[in-house]
Amino acid sequence: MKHSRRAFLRTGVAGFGSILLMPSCIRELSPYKFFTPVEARCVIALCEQIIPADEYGGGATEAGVIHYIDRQLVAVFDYDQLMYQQGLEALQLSCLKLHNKRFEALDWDTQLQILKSMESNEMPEKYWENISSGSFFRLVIGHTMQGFYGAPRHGGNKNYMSYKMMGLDFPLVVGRNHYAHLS
Amino acid sequence: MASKHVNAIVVGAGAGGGVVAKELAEQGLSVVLFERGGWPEYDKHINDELISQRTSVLGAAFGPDHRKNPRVRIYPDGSRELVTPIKGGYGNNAACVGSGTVSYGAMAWRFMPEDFKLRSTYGHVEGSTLEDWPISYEDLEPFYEKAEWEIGVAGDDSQNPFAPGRRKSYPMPPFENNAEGKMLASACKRMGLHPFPIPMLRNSVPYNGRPACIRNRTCVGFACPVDGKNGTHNTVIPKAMATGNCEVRVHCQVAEIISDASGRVRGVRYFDGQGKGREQTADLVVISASATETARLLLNSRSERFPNGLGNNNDWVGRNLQGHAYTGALGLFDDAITDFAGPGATFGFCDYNHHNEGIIGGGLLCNEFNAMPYLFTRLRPPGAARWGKEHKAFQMKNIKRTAGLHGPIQEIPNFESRVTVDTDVKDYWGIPVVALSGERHPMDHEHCKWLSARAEAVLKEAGASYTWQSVGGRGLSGGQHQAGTARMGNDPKTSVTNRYGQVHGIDNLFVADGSLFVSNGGFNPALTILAMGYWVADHITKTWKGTGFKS
Repeated sequence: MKHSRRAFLRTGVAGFGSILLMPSCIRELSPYKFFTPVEARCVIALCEQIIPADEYGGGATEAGVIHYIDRQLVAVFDYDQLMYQQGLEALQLSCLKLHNKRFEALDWDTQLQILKSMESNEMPEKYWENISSGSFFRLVIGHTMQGFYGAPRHGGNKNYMSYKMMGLDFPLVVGRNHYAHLS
Repeated sequence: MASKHVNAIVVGAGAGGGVVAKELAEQGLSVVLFERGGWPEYDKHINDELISQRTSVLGAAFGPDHRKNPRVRIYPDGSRELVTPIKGGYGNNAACVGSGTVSYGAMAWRFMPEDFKLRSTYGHVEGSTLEDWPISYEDLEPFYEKAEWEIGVAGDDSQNPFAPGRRKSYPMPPFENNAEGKMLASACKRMGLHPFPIPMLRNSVPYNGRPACIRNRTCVGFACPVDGKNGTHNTVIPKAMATGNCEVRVHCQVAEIISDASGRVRGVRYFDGQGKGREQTADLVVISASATETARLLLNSRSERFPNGLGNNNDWVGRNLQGHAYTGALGLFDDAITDFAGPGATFGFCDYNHHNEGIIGGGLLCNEFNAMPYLFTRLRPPGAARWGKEHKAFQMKNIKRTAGLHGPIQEIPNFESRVTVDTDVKDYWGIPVVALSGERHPMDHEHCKWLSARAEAVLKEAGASYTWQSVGGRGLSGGQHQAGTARMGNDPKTSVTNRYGQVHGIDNLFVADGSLFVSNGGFNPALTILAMGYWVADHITKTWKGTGFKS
């Protein structure tokens, strides 16, 4: 909670202006446990790039990957809080400097280019002093995969949507000799 | 309140400890079986890939608690990192009653006679502590048989020309191949290889009062929802309890073994479920806590007489840490070839275990356990996109079109691959934790490259449209197949215990788990650990005479 509020005050001012500055309002308005609404919009855009909607079906946004990551950051992944805060801040500073826009406001192809630069650690070093862009991006990739392909009870993979796309039946019990017809 | 003195303490209710507890209890010894975890509960973990024994990103399904049990990893450059059971490099083995036998893939391999005689078969290897075992396959054979019948194995090795000799067949018929297993096994036969059904510690028919396997997709890494998978938690441990002689004390963390001035052990100091420090005394102590935790317990049991820990006068405790470098290949096929009938792996072949030119030991190859969706995101050809549109298309298109052949390669033991205890980092109870260091012998990676190429050839023969190798054998060893850290041997200068798992110089202290292994075979080790449990217990019950031992 402490982290969350501080993060909001830091990045929130730049993003939203002053309308949401009352901390008591923030908690009521935000559907998130860790992220501020502004941070969440950036993470949602990141995750959708990592697993986009396509001809197979919805992507990370529709699967609710943001809720998976948000929930774990105040639970099992609490040790990754700082990395998210530093990573998101560095990403936004880089985007503002390079494109004069926040990451989530950039067009799809520009976002993609930014992520490729992050992956190969080619982001402007002065914004990435505390954290390597490659490690931050790898962290988000891992969490996005977990949120998209893992059990829905952790907040992501809404209605097993990724399983449906892969053609996997569920529940997962396969009856004995179910496979005999393939012989 | 002081606990009542008992004949025997067994530390760790996994494969080795479960067997020992039952054997001693049946012979009339009073036993306390300590387990740091609890009883496994299927309902807590159903179908949840992210909290399984294979993917523990949100928690180690079968323990230990990742917030209470850190370890330290020491890298070759000397840097240290704190690791937990939900991070890589921890080398976790389950902490619950049954331990790995609850969630394993349940392959039931006997080692081959050559696996017990690596030094005399292959000679000295530079930079290695490769050695013969002080016992032979023939010594262990009756105990393999006992494990197969008491725990329950389904198999048929009549199609395996390399199968070690046996007096008695398996108690249950083998499982049949799944769809991709049939296809790959046919390819093997066309190549002159000798595929056969993997012997499994699962029920192919109802056995021991429990039902047959239902081919659940989420088998390996999970507890069985119908109890058709056999471990010590549903066989020997309940039997031990039924004798009335064995108390299973769960959620108890043993901190050290207490020894007296005469150099014998007299019990353990432990923390109970409430975190309260307690003592339990006994006539004898058996440690079966896994290769990492057994070594840790011996090293943490220091006294004036044993300043370096128990059994460690010659600095061999914790040395020769081994596991298995998994290696193999994957292939993409044009059509859907897998049906996800659990557990996935159905056949194997031993053509590449022993007697292959230029290879020491070698390893088994099997078709793969089912890759659940998150795990599958990591199975990609070199250079393939790990995210974005291309990642997703690969995942959706290929999860049913991918098959693999993998196997555990015989690791070449080395003295510097080791478990020590960290002097600064303590666990939740204040006990110094395991530190893991060293690397695999360079030969392992070479062996892996060789075996991966063999696996790839089979996939090509089977008609894969694209194949790639996944080559293991580098970095830290250990993991779920951890072994070797309390080596058995005839010479006390170069081993920790004698051929019966009895710690050199301490007649009432025994080890009964994978720590005893001189080498780890080119096979999954569970059945051999179970057999070693019977072997050690057999010696104890035969030589036991009340409070002492028959000479």
